[in-house]
Amino acid sequence: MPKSPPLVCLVLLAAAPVTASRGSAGAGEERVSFNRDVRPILSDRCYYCHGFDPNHREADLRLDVREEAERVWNVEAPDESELLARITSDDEYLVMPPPAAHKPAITPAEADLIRRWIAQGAEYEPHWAFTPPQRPDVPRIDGASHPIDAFIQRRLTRQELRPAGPAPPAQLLRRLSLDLIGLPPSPAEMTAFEDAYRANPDAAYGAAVDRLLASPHFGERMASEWLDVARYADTNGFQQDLVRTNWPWRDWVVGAFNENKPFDEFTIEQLAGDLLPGPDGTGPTTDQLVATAFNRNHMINGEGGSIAEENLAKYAFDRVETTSTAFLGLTVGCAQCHDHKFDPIRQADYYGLMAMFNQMDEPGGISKRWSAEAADGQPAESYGIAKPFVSLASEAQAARLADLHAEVTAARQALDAEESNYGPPFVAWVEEMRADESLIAERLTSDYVSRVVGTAPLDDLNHGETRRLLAAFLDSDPRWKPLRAAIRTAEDAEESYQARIPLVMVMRDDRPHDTFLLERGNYETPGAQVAPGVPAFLPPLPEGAEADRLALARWLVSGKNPLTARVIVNRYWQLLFGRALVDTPDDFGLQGALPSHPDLLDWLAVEFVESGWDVKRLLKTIVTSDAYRRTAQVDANQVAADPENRWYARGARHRLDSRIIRDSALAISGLLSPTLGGPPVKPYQPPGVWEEMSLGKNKFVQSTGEGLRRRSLYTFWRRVVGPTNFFDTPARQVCAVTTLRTSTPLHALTLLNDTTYTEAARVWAATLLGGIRDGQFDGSQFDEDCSAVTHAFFAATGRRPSEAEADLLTDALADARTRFAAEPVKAAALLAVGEAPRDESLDANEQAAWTSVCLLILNLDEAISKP
Amino acid sequence: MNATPLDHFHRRRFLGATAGLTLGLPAIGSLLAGEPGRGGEAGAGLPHFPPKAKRVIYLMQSGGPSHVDLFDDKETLRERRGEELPESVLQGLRQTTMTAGQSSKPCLPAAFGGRRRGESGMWVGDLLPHTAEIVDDLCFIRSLHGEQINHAPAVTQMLTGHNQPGRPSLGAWLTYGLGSTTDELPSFVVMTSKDRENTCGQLFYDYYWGAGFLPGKYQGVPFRGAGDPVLYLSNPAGVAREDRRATLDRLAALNQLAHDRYHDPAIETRIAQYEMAFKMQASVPDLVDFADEPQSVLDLYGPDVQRKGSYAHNCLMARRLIERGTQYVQLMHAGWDQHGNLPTQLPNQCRDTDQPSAGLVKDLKLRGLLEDTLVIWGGEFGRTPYVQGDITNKNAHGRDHHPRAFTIWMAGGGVKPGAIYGRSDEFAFHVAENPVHVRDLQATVLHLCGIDHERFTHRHQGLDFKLTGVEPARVVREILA
Repeated sequence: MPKSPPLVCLVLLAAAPVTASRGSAGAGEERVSFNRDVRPILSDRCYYCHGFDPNHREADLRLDVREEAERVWNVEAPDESELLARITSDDEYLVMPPPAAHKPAITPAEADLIRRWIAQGAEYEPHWAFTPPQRPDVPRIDGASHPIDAFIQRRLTRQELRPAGPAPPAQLLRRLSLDLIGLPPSPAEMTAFEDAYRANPDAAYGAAVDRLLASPHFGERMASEWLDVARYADTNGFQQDLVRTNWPWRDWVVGAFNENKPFDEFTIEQLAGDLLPGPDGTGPTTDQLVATAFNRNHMINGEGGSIAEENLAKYAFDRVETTSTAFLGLTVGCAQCHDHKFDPIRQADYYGLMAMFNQMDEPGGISKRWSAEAADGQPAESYGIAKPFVSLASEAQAARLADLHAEVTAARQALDAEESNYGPPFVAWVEEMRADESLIAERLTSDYVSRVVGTAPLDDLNHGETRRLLAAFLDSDPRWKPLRAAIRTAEDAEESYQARIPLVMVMRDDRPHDTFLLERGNYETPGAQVAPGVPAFLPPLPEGAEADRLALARWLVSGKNPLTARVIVNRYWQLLFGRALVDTPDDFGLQGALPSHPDLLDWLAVEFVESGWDVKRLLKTIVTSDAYRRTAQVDANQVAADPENRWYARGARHRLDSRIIRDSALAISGLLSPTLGGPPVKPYQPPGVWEEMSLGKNKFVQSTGEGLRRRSLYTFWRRVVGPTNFFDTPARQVCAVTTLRTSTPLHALTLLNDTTYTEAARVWAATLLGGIRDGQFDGSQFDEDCSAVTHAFFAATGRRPSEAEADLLTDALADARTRFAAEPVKAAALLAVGEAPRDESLDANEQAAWTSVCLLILNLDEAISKP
Repeated sequence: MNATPLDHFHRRRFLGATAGLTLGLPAIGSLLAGEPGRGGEAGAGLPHFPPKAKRVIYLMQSGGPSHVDLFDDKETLRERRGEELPESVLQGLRQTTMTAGQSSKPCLPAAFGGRRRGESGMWVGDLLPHTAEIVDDLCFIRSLHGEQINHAPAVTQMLTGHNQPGRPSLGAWLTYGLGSTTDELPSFVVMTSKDRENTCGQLFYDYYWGAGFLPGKYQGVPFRGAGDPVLYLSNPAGVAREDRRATLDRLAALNQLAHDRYHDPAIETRIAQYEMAFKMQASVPDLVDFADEPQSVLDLYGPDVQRKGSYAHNCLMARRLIERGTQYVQLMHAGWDQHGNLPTQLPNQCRDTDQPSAGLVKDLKLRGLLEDTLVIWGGEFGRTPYVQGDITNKNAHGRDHHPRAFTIWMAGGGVKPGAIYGRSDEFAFHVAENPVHVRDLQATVLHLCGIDHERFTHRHQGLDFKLTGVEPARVVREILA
């Protein structure tokens, strides 16, 4: 095995305080920053061969440590530096990076930066993200009373950008509501907010923030993001894709956000709830155990030929990588096979973390299978989970389950008692078939059982093959067939009752064993033994602490960890602004992006930790800034000046998450069920999708009633093929922390044609028509139409239509009326889409015409975007 | 419900003044995957050199076709039928748990006969008479090898370059790199089929055609065998095409007004995408309607061609797709996993796939498309030259998975016709000559498409990923035309 690199690594050396500048910057020359300007170049072009990984190091030169790199430059005479000579050489045999490395060449501008940096003393700085954040001074800026605005404004001034004014109040409330609870405000809420805002903007806004943070839907919104991080799904993935019942963990997450569980506790309970003493010192609570499902949400391989040991290694890898990405913002996967090329993560560090996550008595495959009807009477579903798990049965349920199990045992014993009676005839029965092969086809229907007639050892009734043959025999004989049937009935009763009680896979360190570094990540080639521990380049665990998951969890949120708080506040910033302060939320390492607003990031991180990891307070702090409240209605020049809105001079406008688009449509139409929690549901999906992917094995049985109208958070997520009407969502196969926002025609087809949206449109149309009938929209026929389309447009976008816009909508309505009047059969067909009952008292052609307008409105760019 | 006050404007309504709203939409590109006819998002410099293959059709034979029975007959196996495979060959290598515990591993030679064919003299099993007819158009690699012994990791490795899910698939890499040539159809289409008896157990995971960390628009679009060929393609009941046109015209006009308000370029993209969705609604039904195919062409693909969802149907769909500008078509056909039913199921499987595969190559050749279309036929691994189960049971035995040496073929798109590359040992167990790793195959496919696999990378999480991964891979130049 490769020798480990010296423990004294990059950061310890590089973190030495920057000493007095050895060179001198020319008068007026801007100082070159190692972190900002130089390291990205070295990291990208040089470190692969001249970096941290000793196995891949060329010419015995490393450029990531100043003391070792000094020989390639000359501070007194920068132009004589070998480094400069090599990166600017025309000679293909001398130039760095060499052409064979397939790295982009160093540009003249980059070479000039390096030359100036050498001239200024070639100082190194520690990587920003690996040193703890310090509370920065808030700049004093006129008109920026909120600290966030002071940081933002300082940068805007430097970029010569002028901030836009506040968003119109209804749009502001729409933005806030979509961000904090994932649902749009109702028109009534918006008009009420407009009135209050006119009287006192800050008071009205503050009250709205508090109201939304207190809403039970807040937890659902936050959980939705966390489920992506935690690669939560309702099936195992892989070959069999069996169903699991980890959904109580999802409800635990919703509850944790709703009760504003401090994020440090939230972290500790999920990573190590099983190791907590519990409130009275007698052990963890059930909730704390359920929380640890976080690291059991990974995929499980039940494939026939898969090798348990290999699977176990892969599960532990997944836990290490998910935990690292979720809390440390580090991509450690490379270190599975070798020391990281760019970040100071050694292979031993990776396996030190793994040693904390592989101490369980888990099977590698499936340890409990059952197949039973779900509680709502749906047909059988195949379940399969791996221990350890906890049953969330109530006392009464546990008692009933014990009774049912006793019945199974009794039924089995009744048959076992007959063994001396059925044994001899069974042996004779098989021997007859062995003597006369034509009997096989006559007596046996299963191919498998037919195949084992010749090989099953008849003296061992517990042998797998013999058991199958015996079962066939017993079923063929009227003396024992009823006993077999009784067993099956009892088993079915137990299984179907069991299916109502979720079993949640949890963490439990009940199989302590040694961990070995795996060469090239291969479980078959273990190398040196590795002790559990945290990566050496980060602060150590506290003196004397046992290096287990609990210590790891506490270490992550100790406040001394330089990464966790930054990583978390960065993601919440991303959730609110659609982009993160560090553009690579999954990589705070040397190859990651630099923060756009480093001081702001650190200020938020320090605030967050000092507030006691108070998530609601963090969000409130951010949404009460002017930066968050700006309008997105700006002119073309303002967009052109900062196309990506990197400096936040205007409101953050972007397309909504597809799951929020669905929830919005349900909410606007009035269909949305407000119910929280419970087993997952199966709303509309085109027929045949699961069947096609699973070669007919997994049958999709749609929910009925309320199950069609629950929030997207509760949609059953089959790992092999995710919900079909979501797009740009993570696959829930591995941890995901980045936001995807692409735009394809397939998205348009979904929003135009999926039953969900058509049904929402027709139900919404009925409500609008009811409003017209009840005189809620004033005026004559035309004014009623106009008033109603205005209302609908407002409900969907948070903005009242201009005259041109209202004209387009009423024209669309008039057109549709004409078309449906000409072909009423089309109206009937359209109004039959979806299961929601129809109010037969409404005129069908009229409702159909309104349905087409409502569907149009639900598809408006502004209806599917955050304003 | 409270009515919303109309407090922003007062106006007179114009009755019946619907101007004929037609949107003179320019041909807006970058709809599905980059601008039609131009390089993909991956940026300048692609392709690295002129491609020999402008399109790829991957006929993935999922489950692991038996190379021994179909392409790799061995005299030694025939002579030693029923005798133990020597320990010197097995070398204690890992097997799946299905045969790892099987104490006896008797040799099982090609079970259905076969002979040398064509000028190349390639041995082809008699179960593939149609493939046998065209061996001189095909290029066989008999020395492909990998490490994965189970289906999902092996298919994932074959199609994405890594055995764990989450990397971009070959088709995603290609469309990302090369852009698209159609704005009416997806650039990367996937179709699945299975054997009629439904004997096998492999599932198709969407990461087999996923975009991994590339933008989601590069993932393969599954065309389905039943219902809408593309999910949500059909308008809701009661909405005719002209109704949809009217709705979309107004939607576009409204979105244009929103653009005037926000000046957000994403709105323009959205308008274009809705327009393209409308085009797809017309072009896809045309695509799947075989009415314009003469009987002589249908006959090439065999009797199953009109059965939607069949492999034969999908093969003809593949040709129709590439004719219309789709660049990468991935067919996934399950049913090659004969652990215990080789004697009965392998003939069925061959019957379902042989004629359509060969028919596709013939059809492409007749149309002059084969020249710049690369067709790849192969599974994720081969099958063991030793028996799984009881060799004396005439109907019920089979072979286990075998990634150490197996055979695939390619045709057109710049590969040598009538070539045979590589050789396995006398037991068809190990590679004896000219090994081709799965990575080498991937490097070669990229090369044929004008891409240097070493230089084609994507930055993700601070690392430069490439399809062929971090291990060395080489272009198999010996098979290039």
